[in-house]
Amino acid sequence: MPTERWLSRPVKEFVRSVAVSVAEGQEELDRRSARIQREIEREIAAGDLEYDLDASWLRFSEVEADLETTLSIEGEEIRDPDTGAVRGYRPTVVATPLNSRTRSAYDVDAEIASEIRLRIAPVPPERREP
Amino acid sequence: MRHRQHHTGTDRPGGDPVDRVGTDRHVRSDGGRPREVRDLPFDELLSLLAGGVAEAQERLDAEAVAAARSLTETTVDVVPRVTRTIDADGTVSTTTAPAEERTLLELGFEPTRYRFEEATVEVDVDAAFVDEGGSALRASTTDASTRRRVRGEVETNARLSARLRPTPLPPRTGPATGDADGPIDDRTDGGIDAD
Repeated sequence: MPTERWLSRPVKEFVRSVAVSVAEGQEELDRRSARIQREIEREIAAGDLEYDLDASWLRFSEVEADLETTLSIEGEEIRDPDTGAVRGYRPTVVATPLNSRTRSAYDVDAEIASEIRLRIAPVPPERREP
Repeated sequence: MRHRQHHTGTDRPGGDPVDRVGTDRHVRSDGGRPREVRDLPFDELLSLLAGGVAEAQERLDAEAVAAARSLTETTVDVVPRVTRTIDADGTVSTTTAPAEERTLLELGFEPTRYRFEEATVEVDVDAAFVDEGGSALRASTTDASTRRRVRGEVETNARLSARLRPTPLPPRTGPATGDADGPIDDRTDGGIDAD
């Protein structure tokens, strides 16, 4: 169970979450299709099925993710790996997802909200010469 | 097929509550009593949504396999050949070959296959970063459902939309073809007549 609710995190974490979501979703789709295909092959090999069938394989042809947020630039500490001392700050864009709690607690005007929009699509495989 | 967060189903009479995404009762606990889950990792959202489509497609494929098996197990007697002979004097005689047993598959019957040509799932959730020993983005419908009950309006800050389509099989899943004395087309270069 989460113990604390953070308000802001680097934008890259939202992008990573969407990408991982697509990857895990595709993995689940492939796992199911592979199981069906193996069962069909077993039945054909056992002579129980005299008809060549292929399992249906599904993929995400398009995934879009939108997040309404406010963006700000914060300094991420750069620490010396030996001493642990702070050597400087790296600018990082952080996002605060907008919801009713954020708006009321921090008096955020919805009109200045930013939107992060991602679109993920499959890449056609390259032809490989034998 | 379009599946939205606000989709509502009905409970089966006399049975356990039906799992419904986006309502208060989307997790079935032990004993059949539903319990509310506040949120889940955003990473798992797409798996959860696409899993329903995948499970349905799995069921369609299983039915097609069962239909194919039934076609190979069901046999009928058919007369393979009837020969009609006309003699020189105009007499017509008919010769019927003995009946032979054939499966429905051999006779040309094929199982009907169904698949999702396109399935779109679109959900609106409340996304927030939480600290779980490292930060994590979590998706929640709790606040949205509470506001819907209390004020009748819904505000969410994130939308995830995914479209699923069948994956075309690569050409090399089938056997290579060709004449006994000619080149073999293994479909690696687009075909014998590709040029």
